[in-house]
Amino acid sequence: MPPPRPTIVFRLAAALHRLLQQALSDPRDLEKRVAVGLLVILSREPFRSELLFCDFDQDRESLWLRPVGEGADPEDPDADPDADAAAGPARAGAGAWVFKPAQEYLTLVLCRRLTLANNLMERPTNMHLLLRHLVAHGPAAQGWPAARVARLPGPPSSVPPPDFFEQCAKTLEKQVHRLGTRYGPISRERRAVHGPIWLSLPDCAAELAEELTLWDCLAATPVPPARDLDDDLRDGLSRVLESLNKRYGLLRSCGLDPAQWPEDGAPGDAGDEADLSVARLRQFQALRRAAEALLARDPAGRPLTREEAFAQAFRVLQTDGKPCAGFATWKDFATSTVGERMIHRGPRSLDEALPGGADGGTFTLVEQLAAPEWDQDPDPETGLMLTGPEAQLDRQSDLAYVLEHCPGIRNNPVLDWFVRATLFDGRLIHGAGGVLDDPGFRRLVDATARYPATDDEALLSALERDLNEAVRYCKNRLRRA
Amino acid sequence: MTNPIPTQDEQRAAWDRIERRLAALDWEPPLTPALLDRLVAQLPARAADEPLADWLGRAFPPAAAPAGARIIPMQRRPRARPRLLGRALAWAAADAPLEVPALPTHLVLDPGGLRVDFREADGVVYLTLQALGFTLARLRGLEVALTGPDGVSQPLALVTLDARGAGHCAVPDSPETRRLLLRLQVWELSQP
Repeated sequence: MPPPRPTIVFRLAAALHRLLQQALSDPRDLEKRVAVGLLVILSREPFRSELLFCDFDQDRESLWLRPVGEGADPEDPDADPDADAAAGPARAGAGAWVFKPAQEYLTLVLCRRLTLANNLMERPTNMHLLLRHLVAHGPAAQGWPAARVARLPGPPSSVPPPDFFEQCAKTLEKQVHRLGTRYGPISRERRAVHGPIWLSLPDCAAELAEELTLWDCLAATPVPPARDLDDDLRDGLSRVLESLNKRYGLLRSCGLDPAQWPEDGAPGDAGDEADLSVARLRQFQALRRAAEALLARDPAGRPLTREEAFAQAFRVLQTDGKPCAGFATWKDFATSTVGERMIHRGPRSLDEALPGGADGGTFTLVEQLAAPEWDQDPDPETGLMLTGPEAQLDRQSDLAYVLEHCPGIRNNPVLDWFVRATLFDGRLIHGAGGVLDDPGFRRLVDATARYPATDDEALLSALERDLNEAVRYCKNRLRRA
Repeated sequence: MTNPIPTQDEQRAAWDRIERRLAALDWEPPLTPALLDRLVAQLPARAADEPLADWLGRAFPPAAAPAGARIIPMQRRPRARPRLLGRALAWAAADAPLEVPALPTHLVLDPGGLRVDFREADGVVYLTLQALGFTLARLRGLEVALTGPDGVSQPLALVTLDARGAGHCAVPDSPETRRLLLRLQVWELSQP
């Protein structure tokens, strides 16, 4: 299987991989440590801006959560708590505060059970495979690296479990009982035909629940691991996170609050469009893309309003009078809860006083919603890419071509190396295997006087500045052409 | 056989993709074990069988309701790639040893495509940004960011220019804000 592409979810998988490397080495409070670590990671960039849905209508105080027991800054006893509240993000940079959307993401996405996809036949879910990757880091003498996960009609081994496996087997048994039969119809069908899913070692085995969460996998993992976590585990994490994030990412790209449209819940205050399946969300996404493309077009006459752009896009996508995104007519869509959110709450204006704010003389800056997510995989069921020019252009050769013809990158060996390593090969900047630790990169940096060789923070700032400048230059050149 | 030279639309899409990948890089240093240990140690104990989400809700409770509306500094826009449109060149008053620097009635930002008018009243500085000449056609309807001399890391306000290329905003009046305004920069935020 090819390694995942360096998307934001891959970055999250890499950060989680690094966190697990730290957390698994200390078995105390494993779940707490991983959860808190994830919250802190998600509260930082690039995840805050690139992954999480954030309703910027909320005021700053309610966007940041202060941990219990955190006065102000424990290292600064004189710090003013109110001033601290006003500096939420800066404090979060130091690590103590968490971003409220990060907490929602953890609950909505990372605590979710992964269900079986229709096209997997007798194969288990990616979460089961992740569990196999995790347990394979156990001691080799006990046979953990040879662990297998597969559907079998009966237990592959009838020998009583050895001591080292007992804890893992008990945990898995609890998970099976806890889930009971509350798993999806596809799992039910596969189980009836091919049998339950088993985790088997050479001399012992245990049944796995049909659907697992990330936390179930961690609970069953033998700790501490006998070796460093490998890249296969990181790629496995990435696949699991891609699946978990799919619906959240689609809702976000449509400008819809994922908390208001939970996957398996009642619609809450979301109105009557409770059934927002992934397939339907893809249609909403296509509608928003088409509308945004119309809005972005250079207007020859009067610029389109958002409502006009959505109306035009709706009619374009409504081929042969068939419903578009589940709505028979434009009026149905425009008066629905989803339509209202997508059309009218997409852009946020500036300088609006907070509603109900006591102080009429103060001003609030409000963000726009996240831009549409273009970085899409083909639909796993149909294999089709979404229409639209961006979706059709997934050729690495295009990226290579534009980079080769960008003077700011081509003529700067450090930048060229950095771009290829991070954007093409998906390497991380920090940590083991990161570009900052690469001797080849260090030699290039040392050989040029343009970048500071000893201060990594300054080096990264300079690289980011130069990269943005080079990209801006090339995009402008294209615009003028 | 596909053409090895991408079209201009394909090149634009490729640059968009590169920008997205750049935005997703791990520019910030990773979480340190010491910080994680400190944070976990100060959080309340988790009861047996307490769901993780419930415990996290207790450990990170919502902040108390704010006393009133406050200034919310601009947060980083998702995938917004800012582009410098103009800046106020070294304005002597910004470095003057005055407690409260004086604001001019207006500033023309290089390269002469933007003008900013200032009006002060009731502890608030009202700004009117006007795109001039050839810039007008390109900038009308766009959203721009007003920042201090350090660029987008020093945000002051976001302004949407209307069909006449004009936009308005207001910022609280303080010596610090005035020093930033005297070295104002205007950035174009790319369209989502």
